[in-house]
Amino acid sequence: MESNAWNMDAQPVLEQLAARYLAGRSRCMTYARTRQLMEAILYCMEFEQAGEDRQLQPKNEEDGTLRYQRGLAAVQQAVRKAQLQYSRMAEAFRDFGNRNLRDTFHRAIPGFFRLYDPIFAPQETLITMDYPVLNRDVSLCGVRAVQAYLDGLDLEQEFLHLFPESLAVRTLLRFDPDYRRQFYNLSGVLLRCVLVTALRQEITGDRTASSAVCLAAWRKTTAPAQQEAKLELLLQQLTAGRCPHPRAVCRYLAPELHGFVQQLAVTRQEGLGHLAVYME
Amino acid sequence: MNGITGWRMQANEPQCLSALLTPPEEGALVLTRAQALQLLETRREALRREGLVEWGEGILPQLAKQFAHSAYLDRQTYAESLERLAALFYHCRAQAGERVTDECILEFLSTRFEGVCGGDFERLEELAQERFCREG
Repeated sequence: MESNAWNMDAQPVLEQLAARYLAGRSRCMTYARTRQLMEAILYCMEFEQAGEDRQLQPKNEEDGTLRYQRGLAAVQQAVRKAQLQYSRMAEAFRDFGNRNLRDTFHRAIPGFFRLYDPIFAPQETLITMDYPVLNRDVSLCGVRAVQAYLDGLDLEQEFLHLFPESLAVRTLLRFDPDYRRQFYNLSGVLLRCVLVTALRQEITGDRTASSAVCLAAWRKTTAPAQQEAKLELLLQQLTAGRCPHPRAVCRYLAPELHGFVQQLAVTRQEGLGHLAVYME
Repeated sequence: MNGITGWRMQANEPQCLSALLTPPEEGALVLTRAQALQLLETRREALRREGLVEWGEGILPQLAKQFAHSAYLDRQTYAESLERLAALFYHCRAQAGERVTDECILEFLSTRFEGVCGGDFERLEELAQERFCREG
């Protein structure tokens, strides 16, 4: 964002954008406001560059104003695309009563669309998106951050739709009676439950066997890398043919599998029962 | 931010200087080239001090025009007075917030200077401080 080459290229645009912002009220602007407008211009220029997968260095022969205008159009297009995606997701969104997820989706994100300013502050994300998706990229900002967040939530919803509402709620309640007021990721809990249930069946041949016993046996006989591979396979089997985008859902949930294997390695024997909340 | 302010100053100072040296209407006070250059230096310092960037030819030509017929200024005091007025204008600009227009500040300074202040700069500075600090 601070490249000198970009700044030089953006400076003529800055004068035009400043005039538009000041709208004849003044000839002066504070450093803070000037910096905000410069960042707005650079955000649009980089947005356009990234969208077309070009090299990030500006082409000397190309007019900065034109590139900015193309970038601004790309930002505005991204907002429209994100709004459409949001509307589609809202039709069947499931939060299982978790307030954090509900507020983030039904209040914060519409607030973003209401307040977002692609012209004077496209780099502002405006909202914190408190519900933690599993693939959050904290380096993103503006509509790109919200778009990536919605993509993550969208994949998570595909996964959550695999579970009947009542079963999911019962399982979450067993994991944490207070889960509706908590701030963790719901898909991680349900994923762990469904995988442990599948493992119990496979390792002991008995779905009703103790999960703690099953996990204790599994970690003695199976190396972590193999454990992770097995969980990946189970997840692929679970999502194949059931989720619209099974590969993407698996990629989204992959960090949770890795976390589970790591946790299994360090959990003491008496803690395995809690680690392995299972589904009825 | 130094890069941006530096670039802006280079870009609009010639424009500003040219406007300041444009022959005024008959009977108006005028600046010499040296005085105009000194006024630009005052502007540069004031903008830096107040944390402002100025676009286009800036406010100075308007300021000079507004006070060119002042009852309290003459050829000997005009240039120095403009420097003081410019510093005061930019201070008010930084304090006033974005909703207050340049013209509003300019009009305030002009009417008070010619009116209740009777050409007294210290009084004008007090009134301006009172008026525009509240706006911010």
